[in-house]
Amino acid sequence: MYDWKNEIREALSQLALRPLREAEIVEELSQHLEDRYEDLLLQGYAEDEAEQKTLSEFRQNEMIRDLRGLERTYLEPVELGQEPRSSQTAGLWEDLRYAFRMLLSQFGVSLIVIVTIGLGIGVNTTIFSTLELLAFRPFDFPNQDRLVRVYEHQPDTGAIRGSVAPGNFADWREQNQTFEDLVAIKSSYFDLANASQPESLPGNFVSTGFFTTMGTPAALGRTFSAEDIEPGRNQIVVLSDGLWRTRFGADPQIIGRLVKLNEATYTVVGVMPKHFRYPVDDSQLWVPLVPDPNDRSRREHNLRVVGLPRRGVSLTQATEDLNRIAIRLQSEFPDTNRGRGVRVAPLVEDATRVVRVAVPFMFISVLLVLLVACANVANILLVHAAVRQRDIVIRLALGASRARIMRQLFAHSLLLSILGGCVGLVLAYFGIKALQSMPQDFSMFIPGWSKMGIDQTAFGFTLTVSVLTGILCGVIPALIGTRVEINQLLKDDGPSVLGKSSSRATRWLVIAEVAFSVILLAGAGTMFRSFQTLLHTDFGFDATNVLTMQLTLSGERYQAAQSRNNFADALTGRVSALPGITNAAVATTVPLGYSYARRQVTGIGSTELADERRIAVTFRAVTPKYLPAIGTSLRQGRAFTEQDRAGTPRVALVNEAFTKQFLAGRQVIGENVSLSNGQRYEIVGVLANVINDDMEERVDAEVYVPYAQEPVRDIFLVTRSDYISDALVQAIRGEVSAVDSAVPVFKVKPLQQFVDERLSAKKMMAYCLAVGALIALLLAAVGIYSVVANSVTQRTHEIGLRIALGASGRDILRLVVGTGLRLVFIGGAIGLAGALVLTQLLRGLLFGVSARDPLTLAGIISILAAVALLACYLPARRAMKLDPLDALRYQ
Amino acid sequence: MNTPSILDREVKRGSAEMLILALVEDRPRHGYEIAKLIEQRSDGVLQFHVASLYPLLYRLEKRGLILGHWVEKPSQRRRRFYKLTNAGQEILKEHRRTWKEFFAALDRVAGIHPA
Repeated sequence: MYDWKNEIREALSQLALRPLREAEIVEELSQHLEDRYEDLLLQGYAEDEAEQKTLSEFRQNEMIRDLRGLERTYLEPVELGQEPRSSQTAGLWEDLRYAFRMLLSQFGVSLIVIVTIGLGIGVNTTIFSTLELLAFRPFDFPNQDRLVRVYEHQPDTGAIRGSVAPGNFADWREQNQTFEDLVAIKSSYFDLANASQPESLPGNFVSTGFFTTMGTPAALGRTFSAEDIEPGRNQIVVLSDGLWRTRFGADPQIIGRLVKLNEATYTVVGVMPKHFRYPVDDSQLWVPLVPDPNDRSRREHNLRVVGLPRRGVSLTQATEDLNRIAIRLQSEFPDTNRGRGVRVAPLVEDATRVVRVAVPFMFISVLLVLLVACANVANILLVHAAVRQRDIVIRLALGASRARIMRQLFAHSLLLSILGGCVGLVLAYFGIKALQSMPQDFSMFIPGWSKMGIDQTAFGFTLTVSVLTGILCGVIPALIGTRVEINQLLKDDGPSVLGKSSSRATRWLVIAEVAFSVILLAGAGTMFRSFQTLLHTDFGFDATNVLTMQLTLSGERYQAAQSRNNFADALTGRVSALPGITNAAVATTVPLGYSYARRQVTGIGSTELADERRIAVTFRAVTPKYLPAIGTSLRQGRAFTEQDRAGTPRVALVNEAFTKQFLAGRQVIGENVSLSNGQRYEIVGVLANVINDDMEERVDAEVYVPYAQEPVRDIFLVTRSDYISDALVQAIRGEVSAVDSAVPVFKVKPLQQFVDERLSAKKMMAYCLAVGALIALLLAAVGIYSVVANSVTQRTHEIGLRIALGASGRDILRLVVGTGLRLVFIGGAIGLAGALVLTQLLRGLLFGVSARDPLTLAGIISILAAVALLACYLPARRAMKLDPLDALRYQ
Repeated sequence: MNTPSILDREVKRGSAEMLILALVEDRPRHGYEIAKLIEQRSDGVLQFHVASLYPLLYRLEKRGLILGHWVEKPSQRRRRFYKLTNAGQEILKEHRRTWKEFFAALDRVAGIHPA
């Protein structure tokens, strides 16, 4: 018999059909032709006639034409049973498309997840990028890892970061064998003459090797060379980028221009790059420090020293080398150098030591916030994996591998977390902006502050954290979501089969969330209490409505002490007369004012103190109205009066710490004290202690003298008034101008601002922690709510039965709230245990509060309990309102 | 068999769809059976050869009017049977109404009464 199939196959070949489809058509048509052939035989046709007729009926062009429009053509064969390599990459693309589809199909949920991850990552990127920069790479010096700070070290007095005396520096520099160079920096204010108003700028005298040692050339012009210390050549200045832009309009022709600094003429030779700000963030200019070959003074310690050790020289070798010189100097100059050694510390590590204290706790805190966010997201994804399980099961049944489905679930959570990372990056941008809006005077002591921002490192960090978050959030739903019994699920139309394992996982996730939140709350709470305590500490002065400003009496005109005295008298007289001003005074320093003067006490009464008892005390010259102006109270004796003048006997006031240290149990008033300036003073009164520097350090002994007897050039004007306003500041400036229009006024600042600046680092930490803890608490509350609400839904039938059997609303409330509170209790207990361990990291940062402050812990427990009750009550209320009949019908 | 070829072509094209739907209305049938029934019941006036029948069957199946499935019977080759779907039922009804109206009109005009 004729091979119909072959005939058909040949005809169909021009259509290039899918193999399966072609086989079907061939089978169907060949049967037809066979039937037809046999029919024709029965009708009496001869075999070959029947064959010819059948074939002619088949060989019609219209069939192929008709089929062409109907049947789809096939592209390439699929090999069954395994996935070829090319389809695996196509699979990845497919996974991603699948993830997008899932994201869009559950848009609301996706949005919640993305925002949750965004919050977690935002907090992390903000804190990480800030602290990483501030703690590990605050400078841009190419050789910053080799640079060291060199200090004078006095083990006897515990002073480990002493400034260096010029004489000692000169000897170290000449005699050392381990340094490429040692450079000295002396910070000072420079009056820059200006057409409108004189201005005082923070600047530095630096050794000529300074810029070479720092490895930073000028962006414009040049820096200093060794010849620049020669007389006549040293009147040159290098400007900061900021000063060049603000004061000189970024003039490209600036090099060679003459400027007046401290009434002398300097030539601008260079402008530094934008981020060069050493030694403090607001350094505006640098001029050569010209050593006087005859000045081997070892009494005044006023130099900051930076060194570049030779390659291959270790820190220990450099320290030993300099100490060898120091020991020789000790025996050569016992008066000044007894007990003085050298301490060498890596520059970056030394400059960032304050920030580094905060690093471990802050990093752990933000990590915990992220973990809470992850737990919450895992929870949400788990619930939705349960919703999708039928879809998953069908695909498993159709032959999809479990690995493939897990990969798709992962792709989904990765997509969500990367989108969350984008949200986080935006949040971090604003977070860093918020941090940068902190007071400038606070931040200028933190190197690197000005260059904070989202850089490559921050970007890389965010990407890494996003991917890790995606994996972390996806792993539990992927594992549990794909672990299903196909037969059972397909048979079962009832509630989730995933139920058991997924709700167990959900519960543990919530317990973890609660535990992490408690740790964070404990940290934030303790920091806050510490901050509060600090805020309510008695500083020994009253900063309310106290205004301070700095003035410099420079130049020939104020060469004579009398002229400076006259200026102070005239100024305080005129300012006191302004309406609203209650007291006006001049002082050489103010508490917390970032400037200090210290003198050694050399004798008490008629006895001269032995060298080891000669302790440096804070020294301050003030005009008579200083005490009422700043609000410090007099404990004994009298204050200064207008009669304490230049010609009258020298008098002094001391604080309570001084009497305790030097005059314990003795009559204080009328006693004499000798200071290292060679003067002897009669103590006429005792003042309350004042916090001058770090709030957490002990209160220093202090000596006050009348300004009239020791008038210095750099002064603060201190006023107390009924209010502080711009008009008042203008009026005071007007009075300064009226006395001498050439005297620059700068750093006009309320005393309260000095206090705020000192508190701002702690405030910043407390707020960062509080924001983190609140986010964590909120997420934990959402987590508790969703678990309890989910359990109410799953137990609707049971609850209905209980109500029908006579359970009261309170019974139901107890049942539902109990479910949630059990989790909170376990989580809370774990969290408290963790908090007790982790808050120990905070010890170095706390003031007046123990790291295990019971009040804080009690507070946290109440907050947690309140939030948890609310999160449980909402679903419980729904359960109580269930109609038993509806509930019993519910499946 | 000396029917004018014009009738053969036009009637076949216009009515083929309805004929097939009508034949699978009461029970599923395979392609050869359909072709044979058309020929028998029209006394050989209407003929469907394999080349035109199957494209039409596939088209109807694609439009969802009929549904084909393979049926295996003991000691027989498997065959593909077509049955009418609900959508096919609706279309068939529509076809019948149109043809009835058409013949009625022809009758009124030319006195042609369908047999």
